[in-house]
Amino acid sequence: MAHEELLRQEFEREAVPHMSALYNFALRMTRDQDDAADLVQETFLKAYRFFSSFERGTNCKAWLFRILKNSYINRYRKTSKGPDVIEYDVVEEFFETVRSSEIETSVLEEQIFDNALDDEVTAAIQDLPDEFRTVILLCDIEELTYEEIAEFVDCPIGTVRSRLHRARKMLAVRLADYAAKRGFILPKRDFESTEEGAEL
Amino acid sequence: MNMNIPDEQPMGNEREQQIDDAVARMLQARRASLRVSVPIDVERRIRLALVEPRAATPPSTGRENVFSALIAWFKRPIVLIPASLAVLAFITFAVSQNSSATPLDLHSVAYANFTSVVKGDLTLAKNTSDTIALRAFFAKAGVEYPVFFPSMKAKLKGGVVSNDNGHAYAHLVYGIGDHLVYLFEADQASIDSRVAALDTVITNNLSTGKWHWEERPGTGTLFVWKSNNIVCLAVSDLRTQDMSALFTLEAL
Repeated sequence: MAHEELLRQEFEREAVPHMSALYNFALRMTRDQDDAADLVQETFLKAYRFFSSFERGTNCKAWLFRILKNSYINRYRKTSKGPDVIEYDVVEEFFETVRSSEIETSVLEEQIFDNALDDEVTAAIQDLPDEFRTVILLCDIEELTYEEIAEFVDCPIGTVRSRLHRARKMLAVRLADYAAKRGFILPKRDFESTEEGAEL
Repeated sequence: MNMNIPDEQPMGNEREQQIDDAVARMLQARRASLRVSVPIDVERRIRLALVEPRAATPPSTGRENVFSALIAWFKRPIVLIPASLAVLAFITFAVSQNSSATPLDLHSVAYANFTSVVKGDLTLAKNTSDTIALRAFFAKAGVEYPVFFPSMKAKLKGGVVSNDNGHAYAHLVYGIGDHLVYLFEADQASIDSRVAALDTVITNNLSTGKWHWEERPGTGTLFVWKSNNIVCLAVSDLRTQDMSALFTLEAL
């Protein structure tokens, strides 16, 4: 009983503070509040049940994310409800064709990103294909290491870096689009044709 | 500070690197605002499930789908109406055969109902903060005692009526911020007639004019007091100190 209570207290201290991080990730992946809540609940119940097997001193958050991933695969990937599995080759091929010169770095850095609305950034992340969204969320939002992400996505670290780079590039393109739609900047093809735009 | 500074980039172009860094910086700077916090009701649900993992309802599974299908089949009018009549007949028969039903344990029911409110299993039948409308609602639903509305620093959300052992009871729910205060009221007459029962410790406290406070970690805080002939059992996810601050002495 005392051991059980100590374990519960340790779980409360180590795992429960990551609940929001897991919910945030689950929500981004399932795109449904109820599914995200169920997924997080299942993750925490499993984690609590197997907490004695958690290796103390390692990253509890990364451990919880691995449990969540397994639950996610079991619950959603086997059903038609799950997000579409993307064709990497198609996505990579498309984004390799997006020339970096189409985004003016100085404008992008100092103005586009600073002025992007949180909703736009959220929408841009949501629009990313599943696997690219995963690495962006785990790395830039949840601060997992490359090693932990590699373990999560079951890929070599080089692949994680590559996906992360492409994911950020996709976001940059999308945010530039949003900025253009708001009239904040002109799309490259437009400002190439005007003297005024070329100075931007 | 991001620890994931790559030691090599998959693409060597300097501009690519600048864009990559800029996006990473932007996301890291907005981390807090891009995160969606777990809703308080979801957090409560999970915490409750952790406290009683064996009693927790697992999220939907294949078996649950079969169960749902069965429920859906049962909900068909051609099945539901005869089934309801059969259940009603059985209840009537059971009540007529056994007039000495087990008294309603107010103490445990208050906690259980609070959990049900949090989980969304117990929903309000009348959503209003209008006490006159609620009084009319309770009276119409068969509550025979004058329902007490303590004035507290929380917004009255509404009420619902339960029927136990042939006796109607009033339940109120208040909200403050992300927290809930559930209030279960029972008249002294139902306790005296053994339709309902109260824990001995609580009974002793109330009989000597004391209030009763208790905290169940992970479940809630219970506050019991008596106003005229009404026993009020309030349960909240607030700690004792915070919950007691909601009530004023005059209100009780």
